[in-house]
Amino acid sequence: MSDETILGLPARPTALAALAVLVVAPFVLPTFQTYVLSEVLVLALFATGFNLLYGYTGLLSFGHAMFFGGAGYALGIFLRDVAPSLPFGGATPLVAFAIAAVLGVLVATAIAIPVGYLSVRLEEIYFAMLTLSFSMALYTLVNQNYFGVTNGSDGILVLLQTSNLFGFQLSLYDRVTYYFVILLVVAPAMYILWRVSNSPFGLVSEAIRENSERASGLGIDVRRHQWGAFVLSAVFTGIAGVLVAPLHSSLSPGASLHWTISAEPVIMTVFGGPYSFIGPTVGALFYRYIRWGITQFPLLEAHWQLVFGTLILVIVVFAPRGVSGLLKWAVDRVRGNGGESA
Amino acid sequence: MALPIQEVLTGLSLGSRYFLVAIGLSLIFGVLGVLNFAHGALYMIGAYVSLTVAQNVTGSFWVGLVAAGLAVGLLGAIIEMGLIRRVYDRDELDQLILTFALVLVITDLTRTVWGSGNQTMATPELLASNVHFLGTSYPAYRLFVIVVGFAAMGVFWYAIQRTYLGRLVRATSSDRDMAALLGVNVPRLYTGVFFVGSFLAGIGGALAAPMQAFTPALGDQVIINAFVIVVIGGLGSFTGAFVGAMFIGLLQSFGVLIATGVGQLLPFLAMILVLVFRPEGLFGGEGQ
Amino acid sequence: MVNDSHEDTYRATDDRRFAEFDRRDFLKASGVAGAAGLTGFAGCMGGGGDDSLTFGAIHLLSGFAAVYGESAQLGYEMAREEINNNGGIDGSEIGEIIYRDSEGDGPTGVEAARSLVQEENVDGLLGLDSSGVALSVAPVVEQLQTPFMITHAATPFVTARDGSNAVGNDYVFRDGVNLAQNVYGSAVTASETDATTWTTIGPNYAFGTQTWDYFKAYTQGMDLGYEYLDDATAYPELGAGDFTPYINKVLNADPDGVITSLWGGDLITFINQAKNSNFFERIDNVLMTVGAATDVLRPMGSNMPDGLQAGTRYWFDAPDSEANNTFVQNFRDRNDGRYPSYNAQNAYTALYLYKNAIEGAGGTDPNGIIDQWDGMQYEAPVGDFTINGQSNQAVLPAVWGTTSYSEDRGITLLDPVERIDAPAEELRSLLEGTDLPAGV
Repeated sequence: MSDETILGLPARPTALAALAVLVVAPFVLPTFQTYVLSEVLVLALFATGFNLLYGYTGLLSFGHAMFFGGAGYALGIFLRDVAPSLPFGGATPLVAFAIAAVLGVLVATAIAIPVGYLSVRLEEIYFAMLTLSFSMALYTLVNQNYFGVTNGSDGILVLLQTSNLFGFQLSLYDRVTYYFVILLVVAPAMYILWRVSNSPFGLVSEAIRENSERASGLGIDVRRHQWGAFVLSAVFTGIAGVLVAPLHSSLSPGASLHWTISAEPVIMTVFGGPYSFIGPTVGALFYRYIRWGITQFPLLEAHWQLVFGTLILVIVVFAPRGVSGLLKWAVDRVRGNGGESA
Repeated sequence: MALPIQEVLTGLSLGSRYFLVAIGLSLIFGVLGVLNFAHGALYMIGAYVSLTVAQNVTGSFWVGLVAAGLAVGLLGAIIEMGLIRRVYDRDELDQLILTFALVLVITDLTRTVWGSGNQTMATPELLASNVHFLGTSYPAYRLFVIVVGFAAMGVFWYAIQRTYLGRLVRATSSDRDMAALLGVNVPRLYTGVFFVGSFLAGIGGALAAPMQAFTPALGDQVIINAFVIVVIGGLGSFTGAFVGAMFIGLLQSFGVLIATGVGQLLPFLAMILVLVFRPEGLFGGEGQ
Repeated sequence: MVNDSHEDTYRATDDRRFAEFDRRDFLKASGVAGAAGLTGFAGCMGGGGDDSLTFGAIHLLSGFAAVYGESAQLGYEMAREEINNNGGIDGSEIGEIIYRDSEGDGPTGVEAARSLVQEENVDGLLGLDSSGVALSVAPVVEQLQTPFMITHAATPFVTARDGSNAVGNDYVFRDGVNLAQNVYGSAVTASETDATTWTTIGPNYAFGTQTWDYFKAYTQGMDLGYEYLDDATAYPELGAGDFTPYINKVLNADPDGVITSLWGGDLITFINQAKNSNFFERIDNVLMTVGAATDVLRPMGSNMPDGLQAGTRYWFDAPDSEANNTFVQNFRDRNDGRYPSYNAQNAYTALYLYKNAIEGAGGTDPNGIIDQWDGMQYEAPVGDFTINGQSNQAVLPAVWGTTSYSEDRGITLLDPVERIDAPAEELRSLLEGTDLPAGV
């Protein structure tokens, strides 16, 4: 799995080509599609961060919304309450956003440390249930507005302003500008995740996933390693979370912290295939664009749950390695690599 | 003092309804190793079948109740044979996602057939009055539901511990390959278990129908609580499902008195505590 | 600063910079040639360009409250047919109303709004059932510079301009009764009773808690001398199947009056369960803020208790005007004798409001439409109203009455029924000193 290929194609050239496409895209696509692509990038990071824990370390988390939404809420609350009084003049919106983003990721990390410590002591479904519980507990706290800062079920608006940098107007709210903000963060983040996955750390994770007892016998401190993977996964999820809040312009318990949000990276990963690095990204792409595709046809949109559900059923039953597995198989066939079956 | 009795009875009646969902979930997980996310949707189908059969076809609640159980049981068996069977050897996650996708499909189909409006069902005449005891008055139907819950537990316990079939189920859940080697027809047993689990969910839904207005989204309301119960009680343990269900029901009943939202928060806190301190659940780890 | 909706900083035309690439070009560019045929088949040719108009409506089309979206669709389609049969809008037909499911989710609603405007080039937006989604969508329609007529979502914050949580702006309008107006009606109704201790039972989200906050504010402003039993307030979760713990909590506090903001299936379940505890005998005054909605009355049938005070945002029997009677009759003819709900009426009226505005402005320019709506007076089935120029909220009365089941008509009626005027200034002055906007 620590491959130097992406879907059967050589890694470096493919990645660079993809990056080039992403840079050019907003100048070619209609604005709405830029918006959709922005979301795909964020979801790809979310799912890949999640998969660091699942596909690589073998721990299925059902609570990743607590990092995704938790980071977002930290950003939102900071921007609402603290940003207006920052003394950076015209550059304030940009600086405020940067500070808020870092704060959000720190909050996600702060949540992950104790939660991870408690959770990695468990296995499989129990791990999933515990992460679910923590996440839903946070959801309830935010929804009830127990601390008076979250505005309960109505949620918080996140509207970025325009900065004035030496006479140059930079509107972070502009969809194209924000797309590049996202790309500038997601691309390096994905690269780091890639390096981590292929590093000794990643290899140890896989070893633990395959057979944790044997790994332990080799002298690996399984629990510590899992804890580390958990926190790392949370960090990248948190990054995705701070990026998505301004993209959607809003935060609410239902859209940021509910277990249905935790389910999204799970579905995307299964869709795309958990046993390759690019799987979750492929899954995010398909998940998002299929949902968009359905909205284009009134008959399908009126029954989108049926369409979507059936699609997931078909993929799960007939494509054990997910869509990325299918794609890889197709690429192998075309290139005559004679790879394994999908 | 009327106060605690009302709360206790309410908690027990809530618990009984949860139990009928949780026990199927626990049974299916214990024997098949599958976490059936679609169990809530099956519960919901039970309510709709009961509504149609009782109101439109026969006019009898009792026929509707039985029909609901059988219909949902059959649906469960079909799902198991057609879909779940294909993913037994796969990751737990694949099975979970499969059942999650089933929820989408089942919900949409239900909405297409019955519409999305609120449905109501009358309480059966026999049980439509209040019962007076211990200085308080309580709806007879709810007491009936509590009785059904306890009876189901009793029947189950007996079946699992004392009958041949029960032994087969216990054997297969503890070691599937060994059971197969010993001549147990494992696939058929699995289908049977799925049938029974779904049957119970269908009965649960049919029992709930006279108590509340429902829509195709009824399943979503119960499934998470069912998961919490099954984990707290111990996956695969029926006693655990029973105790867990009653516990959660009582918690939600009394939680109202503390503060808003507590009834929602407490089950998750309870689950956290159980998982941290006794992950196999209150009754788990030693089988049924 | 963050919520200052008048900031021009993000009212960018940049967003329309690439709009000349409409959806068809995109599909061609991505090589999906066959899709052009498919889109034609689906009839999704964007408005503008040819002679027909297109509107986009975002509603709940799935989930436990999907009945509201469906009901709105009945209203839209009836209006569309009528308008097209009577010469259309200035000669142009309403070609299509594109429906999108908000899924009750803010980001999904926002995306639907963006897609409808930027991909489908709709001439106007309609919709939203969920208040939470409305709060997310409001700033976005301003940025998209598209008019948006809200037909259901009742949060006052979406037609309010002042205050930290207000998101009202020039492009967001509402043609239905909002929460502030409806609860004002409940306060007036309460003042006519002799209840002095009050508590509430409502769904556990903003709608439920705000109803109570507004009720307290109004009745305090009216100097009614009420005692508010805050410790006895009960907020069950949306979709909770069993309200008995909450019913018991309220009964144990023994208030004179209870105001409930439970709606839809929750209200049905609550009433049925409350009857078991003799709730309505033990508590003299029960006010149901949306109890007279048809999606409650129809399933309840003859099980609905008589003698309760129920409110609604549109009552099919009032006013007894030609506009209303014709509307109700036509609706019933089209829909198997069903009485129109407020969702249907609001949707129906919204489309006509677009017609008026587009004809008055002489075109579909968004700024022309919103200028027309500003202060517009209109005769709807729900009654004559004016759209308040400051808030963009239609100034409508709250309808309250006493329930009374009618065998002949097969549905519970409100008898007597009162249309309680809720003048903007009155609401604002009563709410002064609180952080609750009147939204009108």
